[in-house]
Amino acid sequence: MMWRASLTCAASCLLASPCSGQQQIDGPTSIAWNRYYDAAEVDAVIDTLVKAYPSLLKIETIGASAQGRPLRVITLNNPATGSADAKPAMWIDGNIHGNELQATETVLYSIDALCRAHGKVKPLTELVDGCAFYFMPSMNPDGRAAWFSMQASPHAFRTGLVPTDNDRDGALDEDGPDDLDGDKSIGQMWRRDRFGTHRRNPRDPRILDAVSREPRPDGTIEYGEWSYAGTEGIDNDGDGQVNEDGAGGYDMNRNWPCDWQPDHIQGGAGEMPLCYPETRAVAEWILRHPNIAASQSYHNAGGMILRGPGASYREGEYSGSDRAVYDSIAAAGAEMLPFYTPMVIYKDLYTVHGGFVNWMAESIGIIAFTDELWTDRRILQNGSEPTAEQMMRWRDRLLFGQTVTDWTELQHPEFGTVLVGGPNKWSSRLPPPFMLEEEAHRNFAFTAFHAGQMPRVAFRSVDVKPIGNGVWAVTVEIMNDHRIPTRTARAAACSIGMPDTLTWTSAETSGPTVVASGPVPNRLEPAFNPVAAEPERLRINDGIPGLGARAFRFLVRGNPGQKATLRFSGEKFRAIETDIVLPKGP
Amino acid sequence: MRPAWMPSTLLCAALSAHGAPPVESVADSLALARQLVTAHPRTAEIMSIGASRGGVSIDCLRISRDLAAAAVQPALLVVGGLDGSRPGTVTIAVECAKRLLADPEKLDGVTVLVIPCANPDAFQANAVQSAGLSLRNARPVDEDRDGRIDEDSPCDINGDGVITMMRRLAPPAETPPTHLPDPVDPRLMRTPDPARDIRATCTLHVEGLDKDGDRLVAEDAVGGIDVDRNFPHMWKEFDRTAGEMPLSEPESLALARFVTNRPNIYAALVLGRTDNLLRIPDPKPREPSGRFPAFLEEADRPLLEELAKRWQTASGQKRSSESDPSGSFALWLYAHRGVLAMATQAWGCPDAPPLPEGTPEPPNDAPKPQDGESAQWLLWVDRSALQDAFIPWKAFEHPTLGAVEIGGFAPRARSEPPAAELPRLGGAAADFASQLIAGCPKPRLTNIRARTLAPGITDIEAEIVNDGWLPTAPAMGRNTKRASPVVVSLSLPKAQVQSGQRVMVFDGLEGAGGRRPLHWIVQTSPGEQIHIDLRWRPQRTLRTTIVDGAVTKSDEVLP
Repeated sequence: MMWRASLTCAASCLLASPCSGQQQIDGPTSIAWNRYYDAAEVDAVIDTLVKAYPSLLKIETIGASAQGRPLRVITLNNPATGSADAKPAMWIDGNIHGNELQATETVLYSIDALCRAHGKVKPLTELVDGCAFYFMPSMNPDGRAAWFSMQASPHAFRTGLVPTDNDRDGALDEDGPDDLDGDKSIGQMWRRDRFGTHRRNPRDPRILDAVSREPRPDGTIEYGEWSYAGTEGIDNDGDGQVNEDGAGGYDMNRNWPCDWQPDHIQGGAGEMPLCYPETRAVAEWILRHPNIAASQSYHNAGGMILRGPGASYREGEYSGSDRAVYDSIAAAGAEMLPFYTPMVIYKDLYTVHGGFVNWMAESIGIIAFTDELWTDRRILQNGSEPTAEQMMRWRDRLLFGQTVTDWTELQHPEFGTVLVGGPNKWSSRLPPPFMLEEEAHRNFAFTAFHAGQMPRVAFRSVDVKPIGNGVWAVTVEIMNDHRIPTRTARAAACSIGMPDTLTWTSAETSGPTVVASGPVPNRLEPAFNPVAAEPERLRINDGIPGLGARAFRFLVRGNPGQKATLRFSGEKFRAIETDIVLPKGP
Repeated sequence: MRPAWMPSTLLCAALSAHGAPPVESVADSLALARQLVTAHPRTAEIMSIGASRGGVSIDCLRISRDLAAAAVQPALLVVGGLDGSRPGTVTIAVECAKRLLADPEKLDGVTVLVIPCANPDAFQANAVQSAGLSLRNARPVDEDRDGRIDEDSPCDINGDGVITMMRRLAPPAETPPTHLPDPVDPRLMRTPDPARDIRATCTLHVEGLDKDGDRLVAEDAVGGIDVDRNFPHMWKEFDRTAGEMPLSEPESLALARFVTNRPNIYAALVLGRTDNLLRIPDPKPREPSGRFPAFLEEADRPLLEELAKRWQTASGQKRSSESDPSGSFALWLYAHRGVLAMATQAWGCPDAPPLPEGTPEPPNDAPKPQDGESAQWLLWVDRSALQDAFIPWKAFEHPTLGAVEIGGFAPRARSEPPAAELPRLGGAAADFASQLIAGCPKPRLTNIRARTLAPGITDIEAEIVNDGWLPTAPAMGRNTKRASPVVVSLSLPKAQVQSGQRVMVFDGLEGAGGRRPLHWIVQTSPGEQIHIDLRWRPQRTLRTTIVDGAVTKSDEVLP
């Protein structure tokens, strides 16, 4: 019976391929992905992974953070299919902002997922075998360590930990926030104010509701009892400002040498580009790896798939063909990541000068995204932003009150009576642990899709024709069946990196000898554009387009039976070769 | 790391156009800098600020009447040798140091930091190749992106001892002509003007061969990066000589770190090919974000004009060569660090000597060559009868370009003053530096008036004033808030300050009496001391003390 036969077939397929279902794939590690790891634990997880997959993973310390923590890059490569630097590679980093924790867990999850799946899940095995990955789980281990060990908020420690004079008074880091209520978090302060802007919600006094600014019908103005007084802290240096010079106080994601602008234009940019040990170490390492062809930098939050440019005046740096690549990859991401939106940084978010994603895209010439992980639109699971009351119910009913500290009334030295408390450092920007693994997996999957678009080339056709007098026309078509071109339009326009090269090497010194060569504008026409010099080594600055092909022609002089090799190589794809034999007459 | 004063190998005498010093003089100058330290152990010391790409130490002479206090005194920075095309700037910087050391009384509480040779690789390279002048450091760069490094450098193909220019007389269609010999003086080149039927006839190339067979001549020279175009402000992305990224070079990074670690630098004199004294920048262009001027804040123009006058008086320099300052050290100092930075080529085209008596000068309305700057140089060369400064064009059969003419200005003819001029120019730099030292900003508290408003309530009014000629920061630095601010703080706890800020940060003070008012109403107990501290990071804190409404101490220098 037909149905029975089909069922049998399906069952046998499952048996033959143990991973054709959606079961968890067994592996040598048992790392929990429903929890967050502090900086030391991250290092332990990395060590566990490298120990578990010694044939695939290699760890490298590329420098030290400002406080001396190792900056670690993990290379994932299958040496059986070639060295990492001979393959296109994807750079994946996280946590340049120390408070953006889940970025690190997502990177670590990606390493585990790829290694675990290798040899068991066909698409991921092909991905691992065909390219390399460079993972940097935390670009800012100091900020991460501080977030865990010190009083922090959802928004700090974004910075690294180089002492900095933010208020220009000559003292460094002398007026940071203070944990006045002892909840190990930096919350909010509301000062008592009889002309206040807010009042406590009568149903849930943990919520402070804004008082309407509209006059009442009788013309009188309504006031609340509380006004916002900033983040938790006192004026430690007595200069009249509160919390204006905390630890660090800069933004390493404004420190990259692409449209870098100083602090008076781009806040947090640092004294000069790459002035921090973390950013300089990473930049120098990346410049030594020209095989990087794709980049993803995990941040939080907001559910954004971001690309450059960061400033309106750099819009022209993204040509139509590059934008099409970005758009098609981002569109895939929007399907895979619920309530995430593809966005252009300067248009849809805000202006950024000196951003890492911009440096990768505009200075290095590769297709680079930043995912802003987690969005509050996931709380109600319907894409809408929760109201304050819905948010409190989420915190009460699903998180059991763990992310909010009830208000404590204190006497503040500057502000008098204040309420201190509110949402704690775990309260926002981070998925709760029970949703972390899903967030990590979906973003990993999107990044795997992105990696799968790195250029892959093949000779689509090789045509050798005698054209008389011992001369042959050899026409080859090279195709790239992935979305990312071998050289982005940006790389080609700005002469970034080395051009692709199509090299003719004759088997014998006697020939065949290349007399002319060049690209064929129309593969169906005989005419080609000869290059001025070195016809045996065609340099192709604009590369092979994504999901496309280009044809090249060599006119060679030789004798039937003579052999040669054509090799197509470049920085961002695996080189290919084909043998040519001049045929014996038509 | 090799000391900067020790030549690498094979020092050979370079062609000495119009008596310019041989290349050894750079090493000599740096050796002299060392000797100055030995001769003036109480007022001079030497330190290394880093090493070049080629491993040569970049030295700094620190000069002060009180070396122990040098780090907490306002500092003037003098930098030479940023690019190898101007080796004379090394000698001038050392001579400047020598003269300042000879009269230490003039140092007047100011530290002078002299970096004579900020790009030693270029000078090392020039020491071993005599025909041309490299201005870059020793980083290997694949300029033509062919996978081969430095394989097609300019060279002296006609054996006349110098690398000059080639004009290709009949270029093929794929490289159409771009220039023509100027009909007014065919030794000079000009661009075509099709509207007036002035047609290009030749292409211009640096003297050299196509050593790598790519049909390009001398397109991949030995070294490197132009250190003085590798700084972040207005840096030229994808200009291969400007570096892969700003501060990509050890020399520029060492200089930048040296400066950022020294907020006591209030002014700088940079000797190189950038010039903002004879060529005062246009204040109109803006940096990319459009929020700040790119090259000059308009409010700084009068001061720069005065400084330019004083430099011209000291040096006698009347002309300079055009050079885009984008990415230069001096521009970065000014725009990103808020330092009053002056850049000069130190020497420019001199006045041509008059014609012999009885020979009439050409009429003013005589036709003039299009390239006025080169014409001026040529006039000086001709009338000074300098044999080696301009090489007459001579026909040559180039192996790949065919018929060419080789000639033009000798490599150092327009960038290097005659050797005899260097001591004078060093003296000019010292004279100018002395004026900058004498004009050092001196912010202090003045006009302090304290009165009792009620028992225990004191009203304090005062001013901070800059007694120096120069501003604590130029207007650019004050607007960008990048310069060291002037900070005034009151010793009382905040609770006792009824009016006014306990700590006030001023972005800076204009020069020559620039001032800001201060006003507090404070609560004090009888006999309670009120300290008002003024801190400007280049100098030590100045303290004024008030007790019971009377100033009891002023301008007390805190350790």
